[in-house]
Amino acid sequence: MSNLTYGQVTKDIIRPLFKPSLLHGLALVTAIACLSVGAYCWKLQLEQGLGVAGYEPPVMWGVYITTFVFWVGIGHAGTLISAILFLFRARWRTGVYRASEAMTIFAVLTAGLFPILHAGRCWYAYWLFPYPNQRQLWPNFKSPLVWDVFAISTYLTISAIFFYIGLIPDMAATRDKVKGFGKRVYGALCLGWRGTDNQWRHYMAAYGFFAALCTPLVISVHSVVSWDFAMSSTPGWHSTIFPPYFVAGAIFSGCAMVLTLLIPMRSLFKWEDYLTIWHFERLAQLCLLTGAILTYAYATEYFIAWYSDNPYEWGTFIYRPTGDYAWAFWLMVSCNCIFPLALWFKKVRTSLKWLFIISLIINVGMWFERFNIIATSLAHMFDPGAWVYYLPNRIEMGILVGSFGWFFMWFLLFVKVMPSVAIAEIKEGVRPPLKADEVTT
Amino acid sequence: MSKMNRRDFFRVVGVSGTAGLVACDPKSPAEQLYPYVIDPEEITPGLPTYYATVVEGCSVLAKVREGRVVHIESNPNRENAGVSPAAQASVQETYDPDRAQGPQVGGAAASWDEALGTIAAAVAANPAGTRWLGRYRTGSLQALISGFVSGLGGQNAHWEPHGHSVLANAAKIAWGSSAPPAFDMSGAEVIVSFGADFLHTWSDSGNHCAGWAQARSKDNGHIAHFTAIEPRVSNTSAKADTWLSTRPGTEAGVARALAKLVADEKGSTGAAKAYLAGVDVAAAASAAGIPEEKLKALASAIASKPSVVFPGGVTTYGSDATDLALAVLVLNQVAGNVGTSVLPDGNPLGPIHSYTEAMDAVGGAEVLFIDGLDPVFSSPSGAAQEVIAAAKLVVVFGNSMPEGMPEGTILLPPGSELETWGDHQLGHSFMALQQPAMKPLYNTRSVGDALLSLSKHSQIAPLLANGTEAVPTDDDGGSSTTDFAAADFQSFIKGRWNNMHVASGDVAPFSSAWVQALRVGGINLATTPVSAELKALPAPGAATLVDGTTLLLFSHQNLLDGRHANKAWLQEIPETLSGYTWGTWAEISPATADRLGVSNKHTLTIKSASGSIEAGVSVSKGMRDDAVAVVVGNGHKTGNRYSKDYGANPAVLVNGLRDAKSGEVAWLGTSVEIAKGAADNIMSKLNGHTDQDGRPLARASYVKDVEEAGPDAETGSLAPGLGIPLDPRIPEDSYDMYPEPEHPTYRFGMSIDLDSCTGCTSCQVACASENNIAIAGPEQHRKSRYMGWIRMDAFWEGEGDNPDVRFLPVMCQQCSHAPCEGVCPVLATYHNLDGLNAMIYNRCVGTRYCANNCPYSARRFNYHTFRWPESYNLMLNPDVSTREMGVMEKCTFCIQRIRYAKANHRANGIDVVPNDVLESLPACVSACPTGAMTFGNLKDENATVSKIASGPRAYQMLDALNTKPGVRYLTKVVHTKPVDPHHGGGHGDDHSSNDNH
Repeated sequence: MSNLTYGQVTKDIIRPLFKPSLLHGLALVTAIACLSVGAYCWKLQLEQGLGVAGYEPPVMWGVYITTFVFWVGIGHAGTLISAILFLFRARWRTGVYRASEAMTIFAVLTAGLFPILHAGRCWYAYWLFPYPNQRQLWPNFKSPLVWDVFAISTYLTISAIFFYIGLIPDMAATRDKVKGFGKRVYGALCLGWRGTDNQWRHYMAAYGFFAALCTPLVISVHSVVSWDFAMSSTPGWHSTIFPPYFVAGAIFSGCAMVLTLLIPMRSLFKWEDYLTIWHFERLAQLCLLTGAILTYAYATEYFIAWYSDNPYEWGTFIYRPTGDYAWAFWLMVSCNCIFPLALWFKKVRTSLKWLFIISLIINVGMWFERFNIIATSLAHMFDPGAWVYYLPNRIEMGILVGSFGWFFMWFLLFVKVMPSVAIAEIKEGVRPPLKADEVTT
Repeated sequence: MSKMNRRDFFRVVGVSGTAGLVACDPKSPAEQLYPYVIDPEEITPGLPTYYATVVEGCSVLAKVREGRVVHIESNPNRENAGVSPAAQASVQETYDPDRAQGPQVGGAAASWDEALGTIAAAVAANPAGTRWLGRYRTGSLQALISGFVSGLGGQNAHWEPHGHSVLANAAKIAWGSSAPPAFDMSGAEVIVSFGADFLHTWSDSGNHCAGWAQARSKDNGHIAHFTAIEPRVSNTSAKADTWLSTRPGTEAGVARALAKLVADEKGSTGAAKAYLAGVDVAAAASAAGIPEEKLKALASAIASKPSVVFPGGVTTYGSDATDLALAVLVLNQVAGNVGTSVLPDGNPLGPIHSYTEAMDAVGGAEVLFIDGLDPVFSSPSGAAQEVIAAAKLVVVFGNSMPEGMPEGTILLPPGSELETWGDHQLGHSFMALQQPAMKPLYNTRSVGDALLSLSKHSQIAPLLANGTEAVPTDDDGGSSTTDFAAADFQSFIKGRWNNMHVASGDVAPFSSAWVQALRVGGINLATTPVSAELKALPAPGAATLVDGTTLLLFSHQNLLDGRHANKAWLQEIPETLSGYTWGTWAEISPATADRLGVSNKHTLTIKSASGSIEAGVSVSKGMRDDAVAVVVGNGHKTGNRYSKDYGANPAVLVNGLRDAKSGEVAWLGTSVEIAKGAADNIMSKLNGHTDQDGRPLARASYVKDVEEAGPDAETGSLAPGLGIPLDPRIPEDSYDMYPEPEHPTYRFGMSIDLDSCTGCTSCQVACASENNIAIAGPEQHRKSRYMGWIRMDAFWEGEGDNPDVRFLPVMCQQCSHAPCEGVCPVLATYHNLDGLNAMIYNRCVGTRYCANNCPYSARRFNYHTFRWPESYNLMLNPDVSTREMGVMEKCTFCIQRIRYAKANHRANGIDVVPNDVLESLPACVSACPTGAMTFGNLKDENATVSKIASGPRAYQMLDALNTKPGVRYLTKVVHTKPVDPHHGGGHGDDHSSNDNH
C-alpha cells in the first residue's frame, strides 16, 4: 500500500461507481430473477395459505424459520467486524468492514422478511408491535417472539446508523468526484462533510460511541433469536447452551459469508491492493476459531442430553444422527466441523480459491445447522404417535432462492452506488502526501 | 394544475374517494335478512331443540338449530348411552351435496308419478316376478316390504355383505332360533372371541362397548380377561389380554376343542356330548398352531368363571363358517352361558338370508327392488351381476346410484333417516321410533312412503288384496295385515303402534303413549327370559385351508362394508390401528414386509385367481406371516365425491367359495399372491410411530395391583391444586416461576379411562361435528395435516400373544401452566378463569409457536381456508365460528356448551352449574359409548371427575413437565405384569404419586 496515494485510493475505490461492468450487470439480473421466483411463490402462498409450503404438523416451523435464523446469523459478522474489532483496534478490519457492514444490513433486511413470510396471517404481523390501539391490546411480553421483534428492530436500527456514520467521509469523497445530479445526492447524504479537524474530532467520538453501542447488540440479537428455541419445552431446543452457541455459529457463518462476497469482489473490482491475502487469512482464522467453538457446542449438547437422562431429550439427540434426518445431520457436521479443519493449513488459508470453496461449504453447513435444530426437534417431539418426516417443498425452496435474490440485489446495487471499501480508513494507512514528494515526482 | 384551487381539490378527492370505496369488494353483494313473518311455535332462534329418534341403529337425540339438524347427541333416556360414529355421520348423509334430489329414471330426473308409473307398469306385467333384495329391516318397514312383495306373489331376500346369516343359521340349527343371539358381556370375567369385531363393526357394538366397560370395571367387581382367537389383531382384539394366533381356517376346530375341554370339566349331555364326542383337542391345537396348554388353561377359566364366547366375523368365516358359529354356541352352552351372557333370539334383525339364498330368491326377476345395498360392489364372483342383468327393471332405493346398475335403472331416493319416519327394533327389548327432525331437503320419499305410494297406484292396488293378506311379520307387533290404505308411512307406523299398544293391554290412551315414545325415542318391549336347548347337531364339515398366503378381509372400522364411504368424517378420521384415511390398505406381518422388501411407504399387489388389487402397506405386529389382511369399505367405482375412486375393492379377490351350511360367501379361504407394488404408497397414514419407545405416555397397571388398590373413584383426596407432586424431595412451591392461575369457581377437567377406551373414534366424530372441524382431505393428510382436535394414538407395547395395544386419545390437556400460552406473541391463547386454555381465533397471527411448544402436539393449524361444499355448510354448528387460513385451533372442552350451560342456569338463578349437568357436557364425552370419559369441575371434591382423578390409576400425561394438565388418564389394566416403562431413564414422568406399577 505504501506506493499508493490518496488520490489513487479514492479513484480505485469509487471506480465501480462509474464503469458499468457486464459481469456485475449479469449478477444483478440473476439476483432479480431469483427474487422474482421467491415473489411468485409468496404470491401463491398469500392466495392459498401456508399450506402450499411443505409443512407437516407438528413440524410447524420449517425452511422459513431456518432461513430466518440463517440470515440473522449472517448479519452478525458485519457489526462484529466493524464495531467490536474497531474497539479492539484490529487493524485488518479496515479493508473488509464496509462490505461486511453492508452485508449485515442487507442480511438483517432479508431475515426480517421471514417472520412475515412465515406467519399464517402476515397481514396482521404488526400486532407484534406494542402500538397504541383502540382495543387496548398489548403484545405478550413473555413471548420470545416479541423479544425477537425488539431485538431485531433495535439491531437493524443501530447497525444502519453505525453503517451510515462510517459512510459519511467516503460519501463526501465521492461527492467530490462525481458531477451533475449525483453530486447533489452525495452532497446531501454526507451531511456537509468537509473533513475539518473539528468534524473529525466529533466524528471519531460518535463513531466510537456507536461502536460501543453496537457491541452488546451483536451478542444480544442472536441470543434473543436463540431464545425462540431455548425458551420452549421442545426436546432439542430446551437448552441453556443456546445463546453462546448461536452467537458463535452466527459469527462463523457471517465470516464465511464475508469471504464469499469479498473474494469475487476483489477480482471483479481489482482491489488486490486493498483486500490483501493478509485480510483473508485473518478472516479464515476467525472462522477456524468460531468453527471450533461450534464443534465444542455440538459436543456439549450431546453430553448434556445424555447426562440429563431425559428420555425425550436423548431420544431427539439419538434421532438426529441415526433417524430420518441423518443425512442433514451429517451434512451439517461435515460442513461445519470437518471441512473447516483444512483452515489449519496456511496454504489453504492463503489460497483464495480454497477459501472461497470452504466459505461456501460453511454457508451450506450453517443453513443445515438451523434446519437440523428446527426440523428434527419438531418432527420428533414428546409423543411418538405424532412423529413425522418433514421435507421442504418447491415453494419453500423458491422462497429460499428468492431470499438470496433479495439479498444479492441490494448488495449488488450497493457496490454500484457506494464505496465498498472504507476510503478514509484506508488513507490512514497510506503515507501522507508530503511537499517533498511533489519535488521528486 | 395551477388552476386548481382548494375547492376543486376537495371535489376531486371527494368524487375519486367515493368511487374508490364503491369499487371495493365487488364480490360480496348485499344480502338481506328476512325475519319470520309468523314465528314458528316452540322455536327460539339461537336455541336448539332436540328430537329423540334413531339413526343407523342407534337411539339418539337430533339437535336442531333453526330447522336444521346440526348434531347427533346420545339419548339420555337410554341406558348405555353413546353414539356410534356412523350415527353421528348421518348428518353428512342428510347434507350430502351430491345426493339424488328426486327420482331418476335411467339417470335423468323424473317426477315421482313418472317413476312410480313406470315401475307400476312393469310390476303389473308380471306381479309374481317382483323381487326384493335389501338390507335387514325390522319393524313397520319390514312388515310393509313383506306385505307388498308377498302380496304381489314375489319374493324378498335380505342380505348384508358382512351380515349375520352365518350366526342366524347356526342359531337355527342349534336352537331352532328365528334370530341370532345377543351377547352380553357385562357380567363376564372371561371373554373369548373367534374373530368377531364386536366392539366396532360386528352386530350391536354400542351395547358391547357398554358391556365391555362394565366387564372391565373394578367397581363392578371384576376385571375381565379377554382372549382373542383369530389370525389377526383387529381393533377389538387390540384390547385382548391374550391373542392366540390361529392358522386361518382352523378356528372352528379350536372352538370345538375348547368346547370339548370345557365339557370335560363341567360335564355335558345330549346333543353337546354327541357333537363333541370325536373331537381331538391335540390335533385341533396343532392344526391351529396354538399350544395345547393355553387352550386347557383357557378352558378351565371358562369352566370356572362367568364367561362369554363370541363367534367369528368376516375375518374367520370360511367354508365352515356355520361350523365355527355352531361350535361357539355349543361352547357357550356347555359353559352355561346360554340365558345369561348369550341370549338366544336376542338380536332380531328381520329376515336374514345368506348370499346364496338371496341370489336364488331374487333370480329371474321381472322387477328387482334393491334397498340400501350396493350388491355389485359388495359381492364377489359375479352372482349379483347376473341377477341384476337378468332383471327387466331394476329399482334402487338409495340416495345415489350403486355400482354396476343397468341402463334404465330407476333410482328412488329415500332421503336421510333424519328427515323421515320409521321404527326399528333395537335388540330384543326396545322398539325405537324414528321421527323426522327436519323437513326433507329435497324431493325424496322414504322407502315406506314410496312403497305405499306404489301400492296405491291404479295398476298395483288391484293386485294387492288390500289389508286382508296375511303377512309374515318379524315381530309380535300385533299386526297380521298390511294396511296399504294408510295415508302415509307415518300413519302406517302409528297404526301398527296402536295395535301394539292395544295388544300390550296398557290402559293409558294411545295418544299419550305415542307422545311419550316420541319423547324418549321408543318403547321397551316386554321380554321373557329365554333359554334354549341344543338340538341334534350336524357333523362339522372340513375347513378350507389355504397353502401359501391366505387373504383375510375385515370391515373398515367406520365405513363398515362400504355403506358409509361417502361420509366425509368417517373417511377423514384415521382408522385407529393403522392410522390410514381415505383408501384401502393391506396389513402384513413385519417378517412378510422384510421378505418382500416393503414398508408403509410402499404398495402391495395382491393377486388371486379371480382378480388383483393394489393397496397401501400397513406393517402390523398383529398379523401372521402366512396371511394378508385387506380392509373392505373403499374402492367404489361410482358414488359421490367422498367415496368415488378412493382405494381398491378387495371383493374382486374373493373366489366363489361358500359356507357349506349357510350358503354365505366364504370371505376366508382365498389364496393370494402378494408382491411389492409398482407405485409408492401415497395414502395418508396419520399415526406416527406405534411404539412408545419406552416413554410413559399410555401407561398400564397390573391387574393384581389394581385389584388390591382402592376403588377407581376415590372420594375427595385430591387437592384441587392439580399438580401431582413430582419428586417428594423437592418442595412443591419451588417448581413454579409463575403463580398458580386463579380459578374462582371452576377448574374444568376430564378423565379418560384407557382401559375402557376401545379406540372407536366416536369422540373424534362428535368433536368434528360439534366444532365445525374442517374436512382436510387426503391431499392434506399426506402432509399430516389432520384437523381433528383429538388424535388417537395406538401404541403396541406387547409382543407375541400379548398384544397390549394402548389407545390414547390426546386432545388439548388444558394445562394450568400451559407452555402454549407463554409463547404466543399476541396473547391469542390465554388461561381463562375456568381453567381452560382459551383461543381467540381473531387475534391469532399464525406464528405457530404455541403448537411447537405443546408437548402433546394437540394444536391444529389452518394451512388453508378449508371450505364446506354447498349444503354441507348447513350442518355447521352456528355456535362455533369456522376458522380461516393462518389460524391456530384446538380443543376447548366445547367452551360453547359450557357457556350455554352457564347462561341457562344463571337465567334460572343457579350460579354454579351442577355436576350432573357438567358430567357429559363436551361432545366427545357425551358420545363415548363406553363412558370412558368424564368431565366436570375439579374444584368440586364431589364431582365424579375429581374422584376419578384422585384414584389409584389416575395419571397426567407428561407430568414431569409440570404443565399441570386438566386431563387425567386412567391406566390401562393389563393381565401380564408390564415391564416398568420408566426403565432407561427419565427424571420425569415416573414419580407420580399414583404409581403405575
